[in-house]
Order: sequence, then C-alpha cells, then structure tokens
Amino acid sequence: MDWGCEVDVRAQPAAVTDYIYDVALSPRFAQDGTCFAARASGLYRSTDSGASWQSCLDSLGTDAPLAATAVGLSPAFAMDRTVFAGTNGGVFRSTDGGDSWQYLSLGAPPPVVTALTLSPAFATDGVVLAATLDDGVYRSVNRGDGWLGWNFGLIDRHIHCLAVSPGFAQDGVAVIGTEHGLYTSGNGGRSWREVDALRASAPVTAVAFAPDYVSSGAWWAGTGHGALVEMRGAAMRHRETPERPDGERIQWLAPPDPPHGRPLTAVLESQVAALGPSGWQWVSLWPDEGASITCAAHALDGAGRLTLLVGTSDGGLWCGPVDTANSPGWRG
Amino acid sequence: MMPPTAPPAFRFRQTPGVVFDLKALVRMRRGVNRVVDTLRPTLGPFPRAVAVETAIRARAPELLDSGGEIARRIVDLPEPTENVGAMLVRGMLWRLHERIGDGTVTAAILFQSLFEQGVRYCAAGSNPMLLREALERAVTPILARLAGMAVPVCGRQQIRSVALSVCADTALADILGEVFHVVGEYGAVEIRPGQRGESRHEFVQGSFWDGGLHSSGPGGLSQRVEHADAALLISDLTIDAPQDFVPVLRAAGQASVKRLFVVCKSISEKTSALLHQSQRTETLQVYAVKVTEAHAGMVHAALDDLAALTGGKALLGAAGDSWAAVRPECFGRARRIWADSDYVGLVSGNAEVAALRQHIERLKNALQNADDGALHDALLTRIGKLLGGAAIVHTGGDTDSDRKYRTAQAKRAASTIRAALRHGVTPGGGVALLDAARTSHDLWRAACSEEERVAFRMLEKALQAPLRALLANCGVEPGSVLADILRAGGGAGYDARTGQIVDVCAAGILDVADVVSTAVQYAVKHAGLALTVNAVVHHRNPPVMASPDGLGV
Repeated sequence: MDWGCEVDVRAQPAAVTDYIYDVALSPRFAQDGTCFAARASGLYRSTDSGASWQSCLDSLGTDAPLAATAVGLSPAFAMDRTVFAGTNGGVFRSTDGGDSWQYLSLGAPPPVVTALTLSPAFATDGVVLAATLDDGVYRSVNRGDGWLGWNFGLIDRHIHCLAVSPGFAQDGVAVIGTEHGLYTSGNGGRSWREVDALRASAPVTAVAFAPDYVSSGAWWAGTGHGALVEMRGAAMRHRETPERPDGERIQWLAPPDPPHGRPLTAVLESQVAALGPSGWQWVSLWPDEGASITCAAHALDGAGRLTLLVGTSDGGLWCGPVDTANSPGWRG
Repeated sequence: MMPPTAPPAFRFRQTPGVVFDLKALVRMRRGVNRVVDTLRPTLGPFPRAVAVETAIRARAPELLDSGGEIARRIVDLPEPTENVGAMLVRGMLWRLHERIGDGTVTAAILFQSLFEQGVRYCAAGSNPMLLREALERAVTPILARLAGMAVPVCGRQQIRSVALSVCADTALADILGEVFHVVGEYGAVEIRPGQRGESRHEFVQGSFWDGGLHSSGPGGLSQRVEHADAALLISDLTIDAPQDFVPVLRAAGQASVKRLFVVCKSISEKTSALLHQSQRTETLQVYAVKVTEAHAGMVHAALDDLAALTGGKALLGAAGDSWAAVRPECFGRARRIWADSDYVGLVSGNAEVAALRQHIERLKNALQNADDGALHDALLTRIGKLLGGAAIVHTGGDTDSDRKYRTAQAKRAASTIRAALRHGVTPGGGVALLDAARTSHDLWRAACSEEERVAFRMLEKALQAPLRALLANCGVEPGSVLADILRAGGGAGYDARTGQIVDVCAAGILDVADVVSTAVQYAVKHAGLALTVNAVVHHRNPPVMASPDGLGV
C-alpha cells in the first residue's frame, strides 16, 4: 500500500509531545495538495500533500505556541481561501489560506473548540458550527463575525464530533457525537434531539453522512468502544456492529461509495479498516502497532479514490491513498 | 281576610318535580341546542365572538371565541329540564377544555347531532342502553381511522399552520412557528404581554427560575451578577447567623471554589452584610439567592432540578439537612451562573448526564399521566428548563386589552402546537372527520345487528356536522360545497380564505390529531350517556335570582 511520505515533524520547533487534535484536507486536495493540521504547538499547513509543513499562527505573534484544537475549511476554499481554527478559548479565521488570522470571540467563558464544520453552501449562507468541550454548539450565520450558543435539548455539552448533511442548506440536518450519546438537529443546528440508538450510553467519536443522504437518508456514527451505528431514513432504523474486544475508538469515518466499489472506511486508534463483504465486520487495511491515531480526514479525487490524512498522538502525520480493493486482508 | 304578606326577596320558581321519558329527552335536547348553537359561530378560520354580559352590567361584556370558555359562562337556563341538558353538554366541554384546550366546538356539534338523532331513535322505540353500547363499539374503528391519518408535524411552516388555525393572527403564528421549530414540544416558552407595537420573540440561553438575589448590602437588589465557572449550593435552609455559614465556607475552600451562589430561603442582615464584603475579595465571592414558586412543593421540585442540572445535592430542611452537613461534593457547578433582582439562572450545568436523562424521563412519564391542568403545566415548565434554553414571546398590541387578548390566544395556540408536535396532525377543516364518516358508511353496510347499523348511521351523519357548520360560518351553502368536496375525493376540503376546494394538507390546513380524536371520543361517550336518561328529578323549589329571560346568571 502506498501511503506517501511520512513527515518527521519532530524536526519542527514543537513540543516533545505534539498531540494532533484535528486535520483537514482542501476540497480540491487532489489538485492543490493543501491540508492543515491542528496540534498542540499550533496550526500547520502543507501545500505539497503533506510532504512538508509550515506553522500558520506565527503571524499572531504570541509569546508561546498557541495550541489549535480544531480546523475547518470552506467548501469553496479554492475561491475564498477561508479557514477556521479552533483554540482553547475561541476561533480564528483566515481568508487568505492561513497567512493571516482574525480572532473571533465566542463569548464568556471562552470555550475549548473541539470541531468546526462549515455548511456545504457556506459561500452563500455563511453558516459555521463550532462544537466545544463543555459548552455545546456555537453557530454563526455571518461567516464567523458573530456567534451564538444553540443548545436547546442538548443535555450533554461535551462534544467530540460534528457533521452536517450534504443538503444542509435545505434540510438543516446536523449530527453531533457527545461523551454520552448522539444528537441530531433538523433546523440548522439551533436545537438538538437525542437519538436513542446506542445500546449503552457510549461516547460517539465519529459521524459521517452518505454523499447521497438526501435520497438514501443514510449516515453513520462510530463510538469510543469501536461500535458502528448505521442510521437510515427519518425512522432512524439502526444496526450496530459488536464492539471491538480491544475497545478501540473510531476516530474518523469515510462514507462508502458504492458506484466505485468502496466500502465504509473507518480510522481507528491503531489501524484503518473497512467494512467487510458481510457488511458488519471490520477488515484491517493498515495495521501499525506503533501508532496511536488521534484524528483523520479524507478527500476524494474525480475517480472516487480515497486519500486519508491521519494524525497521531506523538505528532506523526501520514497521508496517502487508500485502495480497499488491493489492501492485504481485504477480501472483496 | 288575611293581611297581604310582604313579597319575598326571591321569586320561587314552580318546578315540575320529576320529568319522565321522552318529555325529559326532548326538553334536554332544547337545552343542548341552546348551548351548542351559541358556540357554533365560533367554529372555523373566521370565528365570530360571543358577548357575555358580566355580573356588573355597567362593564363592557366579555368577548369570547373559545368554546370551553363560553360554555362555562352559561350557568342556568330558565327552564329546568332544558337546563339539565345544557349542563350536561357544558360539563363535557369544560372537561375537554381542561384536558386538551381545543376541539370543544367540534365536540359540541358532534354531541348535538348524536343526541338529536338519538332522541328520534328513542322516540321510535329503540332501546337507549343498547344504542349507547353500539355507539361506543362503533367509535373504535372510527378512532383507529383517525389515528391512521395522523402524520408528524414537519418543519416551521406546518407548525405555523397549526398556530394560525388557533389564533388567526399571522404575525403571532409566524413567531410561534419559529419558536416551536426551535424549542420543540417540551421546550420552555414564556408568553407575556409586551409593550405597545408588534409582537416579538427572543431566545434565552440556559435555564432560569423566579427568585433572584437576596438583598446583598447597601446597593439593594439593583445589581445583576454573573460569573463563569461558578459553584452552586442548593438548599431551602435559612441562614440565621454568620456562624451557621462557616461549614459552607470551609467546604468551599476544600473544593477550591472561588465564586459561590447559595440558594437559601432567607438570610439574616448580618450574614448578608458579611457576604457583601466577600464580594469585593478575590478569595471567595458568595452570593445568596432565592428560588420562589407558588408553593413549597414546587420550590422543592425546582431545587431538585437545579441539583440534577448542576451535579449538586439539594439540602432540605425536611430531610434533616443542615449547613453543618455541607461537603465539597454538595456543590453543583455551571459554566455560567447569574442572578438579578427577579431571577436566578445558569448556563451549561455540570450535570451527571445519565442521572439528568433519567430525571427528565421521570418527569415526561409523569406528564403523560397528569390529568390536572396546573400539574401538567408545572411539569412541562420543569422539563423545558432541564432541556436548557427558553423562548420568550412578547405579544404586541395597541391597547392593554389587545395585548391581553393576544396573550390568551398565543397561550392557546402554544398548547395546541405542543399537542400537534407530540401526537401529529390530520387533514383539517373537517376533512379528517369527513373521511371518518366514509369509514362509518362502509361499516354501516357491513354491520350485522340493527343497533350497530343505527350507531354507524348516526356517526356518519354526526361526523359530517362540523364541516357543515364550518361551511355555514364561511357564508357558503353547506350542501352544495360538501357535494363538491366529496366529488373532489380524499384529502380535499374547503379553503375559507380563498373560497376554493383544495388539498387541505398541501394548503397547510391542519388539525391536531389528538384534538380531533378526543373530541369524537368525548362526544360519543357523553351523548350515549345522555340518551340513557329516563327521568330528570328537579329540586322542589330552588331559589333563583330574578333575572330577565335568556341565558341568566
């Protein structure tokens, strides 16, 4: 399997343990090779598909490295060059691809941002959702200039992950995974309803919508114990894989692409796996006992090939294509 | 010759004693008709008001368009047997009004039709007991048909349509549609008369309770205090002397608390002054606040909710708790706690999520079983606060009575919207009942016994009656428009605003499913019961105030 170059970020001026909180790929990664990594030592950018990285937040002139805890790119990044970075205390916005930044206050007390998601129609609706560690969800409708907390119905405000539907601008559907469960919104993130779909009240650590969600109604949630929940339609029919005996946390989900034969792919703490032919067993694509994966992001090229960017707890970054058809252990 | 006696202060009415059989039913029917015909014009999208004279005649009459409220004002018809009929239907309507707040006029018209038909059948020799049993059996498939038509409310526009059908005020319906689209069926919504001008609304983060700061020093109650990452000690105890408070300060030190809000029933002036001094220090700032509710039980409920929301423990005098029992684990926490002269609130409490979830479920179960209106409202308010956030609707208007009227309309609409969100909606404008009438017709054809046939036939006619009344209120000829509707097929109804036959669901003409079903249930049950009356016994000489003819007090 071709995983591209491993970057030795220990060569960068960074803390010994430079935990990577979040990564993001440009929507046109296959063309521009741009990606971002939010880490304890700050926000880093690569424009050569992860071969080299540069610090982005130096322009702020802080005395000490400013930890970045989340990063989100505009769906129209190629045109508007807009990037949001979440920190311990607020959000920064850049409109020049990460060269300069503007601080955006979320109000007091300043929250720790754990995830940032922009509306697929961000260019017109300006909607950004910020998930936080203890303060629920913040929402902006003016590209980040102003933020309000919207937490009606949200009894667990410790949020791990956040995703919006491909048709968010019309249907207002969003999903958040929290420390104790799963919540959905049908009004653009202004209120939340708990989904009673997990056998136990488990932390939900990854969520993903099917690209054809508008017609299929399908989306998935992965838990901190390695279980996968599939939801289909308004009736919330769900299936759940057994929890992995090793209890590995699902850090990221890339939805399936049936026309190109690509199954649902999950990034766990120590491996990348895909759903097997039976549909409910994990098949390992990349076992690497040394790594402790903390986050991931994916991009697709025009032919539907999946590229993953994976961050680890010791500051490692791995970027490369995932070929589920030819991976060892994959029996398609 | 006996000297003439002074006229009595009361005029004693000569009552008939006991009235039997058909005579009783016929007179009762007249009483029923008087009540229902009074309510009939209030049905539909253009309700007319009923003026109710007040006890003090010099005052302006009450103008009402709610069936339950109007029926309640009708107290004593002059003819006693008619009055019995009137009170039977009045009682049904008030119970219905208490239970669901809407659907009373529909239920009244259904009752009237069933009773009218039933009296004729009894006059022809039918057994009213068998008829009643047949009616109660026959209504079951009708209710099932109505339940099958219910669909969930989807989106702001549908919620707005439900609101519009109740309050007939587009600005208010827009606001309520927006509000309930956000807060949902359990969300906290406060409706208050606003200032002069248009109605408006706002959303408030977190939860808040009536009460606020105890007087905290020379500044009095004028300040608002708000702190981030503060602790909350919850109790219904009193602080009579500063020494009482020492264990609290010790526990706060052990828990590394820097800012503490203490909920207590009362606080002595000396202790209050000491707390006021503490607010100027950095070590530990303490604020005494209170939570006030209508009665002690509700205060305890509020304290329980605060404890659930913040992960703290409520200290209750009735449980033998005291300030000496305070430990670090008693403190609740929240990301923000605030208090002013009237309220105390918090945002993002440090709840133990599983415990909070269970607490909310318990309250929701209690809400399902709550029959009492006040208990129902109290439980709903508690659940809304626990879910976090509130919406406040300020009703506008040019005069006080405008604003008061709009507030009452908005509250009714809010109650109906919650029912719609919980139970779903059905095609409105009498169309759901018309569809149920078709079902009744099919069942009549398949019925085996005579009583069943009679019951289904009665139901078929009765279920058409609300639509006929609505059409008459719209100023059209009911028979011909009904024929057009039937010809147009399922889902078609009359849009009073455009005068067209339309698909009512597509046009946003909706009724709350639970309201329609409950109205049918109540009407059938009470009409069936009323038909079994064989004799009416009157008080021999009940005193009545001399009053003019008509609907006397």
